[in-house]
Amino acid sequence: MSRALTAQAVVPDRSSEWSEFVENHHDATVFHTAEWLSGVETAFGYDPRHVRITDDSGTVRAVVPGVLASEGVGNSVLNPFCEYGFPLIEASVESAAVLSVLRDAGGTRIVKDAGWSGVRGYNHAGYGGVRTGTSIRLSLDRPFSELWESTFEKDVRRCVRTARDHGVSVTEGTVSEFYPLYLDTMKRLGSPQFPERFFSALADALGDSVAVLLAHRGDEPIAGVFLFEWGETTIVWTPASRRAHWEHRPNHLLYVEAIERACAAGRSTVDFGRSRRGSSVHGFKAQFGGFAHPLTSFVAPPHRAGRASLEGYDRLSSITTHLAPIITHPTVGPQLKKLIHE
Amino acid sequence: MNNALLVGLVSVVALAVTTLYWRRRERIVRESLTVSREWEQNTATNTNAATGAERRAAADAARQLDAAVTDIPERVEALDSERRELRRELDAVRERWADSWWVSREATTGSAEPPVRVVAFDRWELPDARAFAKRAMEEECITVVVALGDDSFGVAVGESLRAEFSASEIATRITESVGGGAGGTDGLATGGGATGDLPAACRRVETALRRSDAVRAGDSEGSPEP
Repeated sequence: MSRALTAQAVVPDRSSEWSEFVENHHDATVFHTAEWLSGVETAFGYDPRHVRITDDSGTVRAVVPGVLASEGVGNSVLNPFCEYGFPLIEASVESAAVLSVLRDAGGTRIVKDAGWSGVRGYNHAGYGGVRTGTSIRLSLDRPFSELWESTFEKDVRRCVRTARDHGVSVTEGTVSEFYPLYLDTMKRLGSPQFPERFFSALADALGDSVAVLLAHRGDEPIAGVFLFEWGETTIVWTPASRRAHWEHRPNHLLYVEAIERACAAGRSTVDFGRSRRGSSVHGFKAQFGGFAHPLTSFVAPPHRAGRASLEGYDRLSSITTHLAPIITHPTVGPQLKKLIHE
Repeated sequence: MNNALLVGLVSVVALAVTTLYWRRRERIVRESLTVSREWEQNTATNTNAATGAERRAAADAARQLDAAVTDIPERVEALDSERRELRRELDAVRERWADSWWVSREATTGSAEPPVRVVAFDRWELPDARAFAKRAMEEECITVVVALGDDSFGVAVGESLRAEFSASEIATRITESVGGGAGGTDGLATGGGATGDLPAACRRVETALRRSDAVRAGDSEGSPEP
């Protein structure tokens, strides 16, 4: 494809072209949908910077999500709070050409990509990369019973049996039931929280593509998970649990139930989201099988690559737990979240 | 003089800060471009982008699989499928043999005339019946094992009884009653293709064998050891 490409601003939730392009693109994720982008903008007040790339005939050849996020000493355009913000590019178009158009749009552009997206040419287009972890994706190429027997580690089966023996059961829940569990988890981690209205906006906008699973013991919810069940993929987005109930293994049961739901719905992949190799979270996710794909954020211009780095947050984690009451304050938490945008 | 010193100091500090800034900036650019270059190499789909080690590993894998490098995914998929099939088969065999232990235990416990034993298994097939009968040849008795999974059977005759009884003759007597075919030796025979009531036919043969003087004699000779 040698035709000249140009970038134009677009409002995804007012553009049928955007939704059509996303729905028809093989590598699209829920994080490319107009509903997700609209939810992010509405809840956090970000300035939209989504673009569509057209050729000289006016045909849309690529779409790129992004909002303008202030970082204190500057601004970057990126898709916040998610692992995947890469451009969706038509197969006949060279991805390096699209990336060059994005780079030339000016400012700092952060593109979050994963090993499976198929987008190449970042180096050629002058982007610097920062590794941000891995995402484990489980391919559902066999029935659930086979996953249970031959893919899950023995510990998963043992923990699920423990959960059931201890009377833990999983049901579908609502955002209002999930949010207290989520807030408890964020307080435990000393990490700023999303406001409840963000979850509610996503649930309202995405409808059946969002599911909240709750693990109960007796009448008490002890763990939960917010799932995106969009297209061919289930994404386990924000798990939450109460530490006092970990001995009942509700998280194992929730993950297994999420995988079983995905199998029953005929989906092809369960994505467990980002984690750092070697961390306990990564170890937990790896028990369910799947393949760890490297996650990298690409930044143009490359001397601003530090803006995409997550290392600073990892280093701060030992301090932030002590500052949890301030960090997760209902006013402070969402503002910090907006600033950190991860 | 003091002003000159101050200007000099400020200049030195400014120079140091500027130098540090540019050195840091240069390092970030170098490192981030290295990451993006490695990304291109790792996500390359053509074989030209594979490293020598990767190519050697692929060649080794192909040799082990007795396949071309390009056929590796297909061969691995086939092997994986075969592995799963074997696992399922193994599980089924384990269940069958667990059944066999209980059923044969019932068949032998409380039997007044141990030299003849007939056992039937719902899910068994000819290979199971043959394996069971082969093992039963080591016992000093006549064993008829019925595999209802495919209406086949096996007959085993202990060595001390083979002068009087032939496994192949007993098998032929069964097929005369229920149809199908049978064959084997004096010690071990198998049959299949029965169209009649195979368990009933085996019971009739059992009764007939127990009426045999020779069998009763074998029974008395085979009294329990002290």
